[in-house]
Amino acid sequence: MVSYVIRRLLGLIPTLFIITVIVFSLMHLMPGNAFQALVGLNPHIKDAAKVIAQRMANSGLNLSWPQQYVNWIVNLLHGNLGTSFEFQQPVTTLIGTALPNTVTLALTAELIILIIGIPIGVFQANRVNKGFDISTSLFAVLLYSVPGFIFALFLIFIFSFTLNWLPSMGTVTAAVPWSGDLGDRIQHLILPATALALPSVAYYTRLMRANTLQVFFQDYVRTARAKGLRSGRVLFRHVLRNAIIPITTQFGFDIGGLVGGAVILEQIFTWPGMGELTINANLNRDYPVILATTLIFAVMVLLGNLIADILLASMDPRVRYN
Amino acid sequence: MAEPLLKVRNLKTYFISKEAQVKAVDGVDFDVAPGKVLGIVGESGSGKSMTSLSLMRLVPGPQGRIVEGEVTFEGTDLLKLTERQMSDVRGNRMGMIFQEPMTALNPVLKIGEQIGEVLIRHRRVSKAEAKKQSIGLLRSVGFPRAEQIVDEYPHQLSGGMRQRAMIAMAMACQPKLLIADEPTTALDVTIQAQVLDLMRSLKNKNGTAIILITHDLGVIAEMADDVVVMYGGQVVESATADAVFDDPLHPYTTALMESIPVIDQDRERLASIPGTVPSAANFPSGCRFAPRCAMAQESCHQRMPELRELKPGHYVRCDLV
Amino acid sequence: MKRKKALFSAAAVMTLSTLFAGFGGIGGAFAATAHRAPIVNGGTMVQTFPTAFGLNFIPFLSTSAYTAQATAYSFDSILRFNRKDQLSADIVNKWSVSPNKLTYTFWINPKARWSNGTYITTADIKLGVDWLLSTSYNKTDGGAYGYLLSNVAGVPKSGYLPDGQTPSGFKILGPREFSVTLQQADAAALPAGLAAITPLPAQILGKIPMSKWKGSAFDLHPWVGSGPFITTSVVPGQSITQKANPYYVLGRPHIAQNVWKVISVDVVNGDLASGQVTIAGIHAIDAAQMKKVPNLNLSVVPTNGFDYLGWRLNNATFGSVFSQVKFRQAVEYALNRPAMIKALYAGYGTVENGPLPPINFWYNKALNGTYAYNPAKANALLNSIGMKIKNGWRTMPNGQPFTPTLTISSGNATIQRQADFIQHFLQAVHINLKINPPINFNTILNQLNSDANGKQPIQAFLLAWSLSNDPDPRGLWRSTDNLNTVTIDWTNPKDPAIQLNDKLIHESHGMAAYNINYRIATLNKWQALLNQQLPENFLFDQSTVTAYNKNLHGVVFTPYGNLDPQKWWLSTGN
Repeated sequence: MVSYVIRRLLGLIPTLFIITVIVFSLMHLMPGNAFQALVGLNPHIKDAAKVIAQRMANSGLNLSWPQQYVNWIVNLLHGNLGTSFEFQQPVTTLIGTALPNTVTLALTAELIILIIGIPIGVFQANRVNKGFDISTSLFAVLLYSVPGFIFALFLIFIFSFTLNWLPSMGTVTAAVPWSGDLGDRIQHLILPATALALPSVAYYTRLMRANTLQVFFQDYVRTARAKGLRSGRVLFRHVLRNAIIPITTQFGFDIGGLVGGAVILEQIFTWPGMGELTINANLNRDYPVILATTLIFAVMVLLGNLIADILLASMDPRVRYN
Repeated sequence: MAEPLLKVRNLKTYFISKEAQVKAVDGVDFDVAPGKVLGIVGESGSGKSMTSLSLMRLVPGPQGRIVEGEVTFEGTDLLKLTERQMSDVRGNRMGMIFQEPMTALNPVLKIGEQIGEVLIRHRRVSKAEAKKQSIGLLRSVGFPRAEQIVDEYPHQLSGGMRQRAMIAMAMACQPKLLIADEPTTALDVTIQAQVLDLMRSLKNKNGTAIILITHDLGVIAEMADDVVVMYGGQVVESATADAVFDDPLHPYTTALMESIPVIDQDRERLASIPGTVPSAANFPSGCRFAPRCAMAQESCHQRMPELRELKPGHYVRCDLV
Repeated sequence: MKRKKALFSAAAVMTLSTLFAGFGGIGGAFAATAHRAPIVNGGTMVQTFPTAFGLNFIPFLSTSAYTAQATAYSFDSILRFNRKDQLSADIVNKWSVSPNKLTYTFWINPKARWSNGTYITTADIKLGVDWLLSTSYNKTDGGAYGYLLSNVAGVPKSGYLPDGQTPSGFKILGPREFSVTLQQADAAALPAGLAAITPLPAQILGKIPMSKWKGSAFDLHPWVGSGPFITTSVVPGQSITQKANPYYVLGRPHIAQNVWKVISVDVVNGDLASGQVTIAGIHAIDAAQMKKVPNLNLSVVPTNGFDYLGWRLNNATFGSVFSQVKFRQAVEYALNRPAMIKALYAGYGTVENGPLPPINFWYNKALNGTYAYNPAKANALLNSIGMKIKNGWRTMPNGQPFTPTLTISSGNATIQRQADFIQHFLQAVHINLKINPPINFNTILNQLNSDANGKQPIQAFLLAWSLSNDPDPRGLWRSTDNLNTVTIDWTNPKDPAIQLNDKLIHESHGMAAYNINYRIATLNKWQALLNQQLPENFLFDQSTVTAYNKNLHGVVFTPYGNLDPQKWWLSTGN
């Protein structure tokens, strides 16, 4: 198992290498550069061309692309992702702030998805085509067809603007003694995580329902019942244990996806995560940040796939590590 | 004959949907004597498997339903028990093994757990004790390295080994009755013989009665004390094995006999009976075998024959004999 | 606080109305809220930024307009602009200029203190000057504001000095008295340069080499300042919390705490309505709706800036037409700008006829009413330069088809609607203007920046300028100015109008311009010239609409921002 994981991790390196080359090339094909955006049309900068040239030289942007790429890779191997043009901060610092926020949001959303999606799906399958199944299935289709940011606005409208129960922005309350407490953080997490989770909840519910239904009619479930096992054990140990396997795989894939999927929601909720960082970096041609965030998204997706594989292997003995 | 262990009377299991009413089991009667083997024989679609599932009350719902009848097991009508009481019977006093050991075993649970959970459920033993007993059970069904097998998964075993494991599971609580639904059909011929031997020896050792459901008269001949022949959801002949084999009365039984293959011949054993089993959704109005019966007469198509006791203990559903 | 407009400029051009949100601002200096209730001290107010702010809070260091805004609350410069756009006392409360107009002498207000109670001295001023001219600031940290002091005697051509070296033109005359000598007399030197000198706390930053300022603890969270509100906590990407400075030179603020929150423009209206945000700029289009919210007041003030329609005068294809004054005048007459203001900004805006908006102190009122909507006159002008109508569309004077294109930036619905209106009105005078699919703003910048030969695809474009307090046209309007080249390219040295333009600009800040009447007269002439020449088609000055909670009082809404936060106060209860 350990050697399997190590081998898989090593296998990611060539993929990552190719990704960095592609990102690097695409980035340089984007028109404009950071300094044009920053100083290009500021009427108070008397000699913009000079300032831009100066800034580009300082940042090594006057070198050839291959040279810039090599510099970047060498720095990367030293754990140095460069300095943001826009924020004038080391990229590692920016990511160090943003990444935990995004991961917290994504994992909380995953948790909500699993906690809500799985039981509802199972319950639907258990009472298939009964009132609960039909009504929740309709609701699930609705959730699934509406984009998350619409829910975000609805949730904010209801729970923040109207009821004033939950905050609409940020990860902590500013300027209060309890700022940053666990409770404070959880309060801030609820709305964005729910908005991020809802469409997936619907999807997982459907997936879980279908899996459970399929497993219900498997021979081994009949065997379990023929052994006189109580219905609870049949459901949890025999049905769920099998029905959940595709879910765990999906879960792994979604880790990467949710991190990327939070981009718009992070904007709406002012959630200072990777999404905001990435959008701003792209709008401002903040090359070091674009490279770093893209690299991290790629790593997230690849790690998600790896986690999916490991989960599958650990859940299903028929899948071997080889 | 002693008081039967299991008495089935007028058992009717229908599949009811908006469009149709399918009479899968349509008024079946038979007895199983303690420690004896009852063979139920018939082609696929004859209702024999659904009969066995009805005995365990495992008819797949919600369409499938036991609509009528009595299943008296050790003096209790199983059909009158609550689901919870019934689950105390299953796996404990009645065990069941199925045709396809690959799909009948849970692929993600270890063999040991699948056997042990029966003991934990009915014997209230600890997990450790269950594992220990599982090893013993596996050994008793002929696994040489039972200690390892408990920690293996079904896909790591061969077909015959899986069926042995199934048997170990069904026999874990030493049930009074074992229902074996086509236990050897999916197996290689040589393995078939070994599995049958195993069942026989367990029967002899524990005094377990067996209902052996098969379409293979060869298996019946080898194992059964009594035989029930089913066709179209009904019993068409029932008697001791000797009586059935020596003196088959129903034309269908006769036809089945004629189709017994030599052991290693091709498996299309019943090909010699022309036609197919009628659909349970659409039975003919008279004798259900009449459309395929070589001896059928006009009256056979008009009236459903009664099951008659032609000789002592030998029942036949045919007006022509 | 004047600086924020300067920093704001580039950003405002990028996204126009959306970014104004953070600044609120701009409103008739005159709408000072009338109140009879006694002023209450205390309370927390919440203001907004639409996107994340930068994390370098030492003055002039961050390129983030939002950070600069928060910094402006913590650090005052030596002089400020009041609601009438005139220099007035701040940390310095007295100043004079020598007869040769080269040396300015300043006296620090004896009451001026840092927020920790220590007095502000010339050592702090000197540090502020050294910083703006330091190698670390200008070279290593890429600071953009060294130019403010580039005219000070002793500043080399490069624009910076070694760290800690003071230019010879800066002299300490006493603990509260200092002078600055210029290389050349310049009427704009004080308002457009020296006034921005910002004292820095020598007691703290004096102990750190300038090369280590950026990223230092003080930079990330300056705990001492000279402005009305001092930062108490910074949550990156989310909020900056500031508390009232009890020693603020213009008076201790009434409001105890000010919080800047990053809030998406999608939800800011709701946050205003629910009371979670105290004051924020909103889209003019939303004004009517927001007016109905019971707990909100609205302020509408003109902006010290304007939108314009530019033509690449050097364009290889159609530059020969674009560069004709009569063509641009015809365009100006063809556009029904009052109608556009009504449709685009719900009427919240004023027509712009020259390079300074009507609200500006230096605005030439003779420009009022010029270029009223008159399609007949537009047609006559176009006819007069030989642009005949063929199959319904005007041709070039040589008979070739005339099909100019308008390039607009993506992601801004207002800009796209602006373009639609312009197309509509130009088509009405038979100009076959096409709108290109919207492209990224950076792409537009890139095309403009590399269009020296007129071969870039960009022909017409929509941009906006946000102006600083002083009307000094340098940097933007001279034929040698980079921003002129990379926008309209109104640079032909043989054009007598351009020669006159450069001459008038020069005269507007020379020795004679120290006489304010002379400066006004020169700038009036210059505005009249640009009004007649229309190097670009001036469109309008869209107003800034600010919504604020009814419990907020005393805000001074001006075209130059919401001034005097120390005078704002929050009433309790509703």
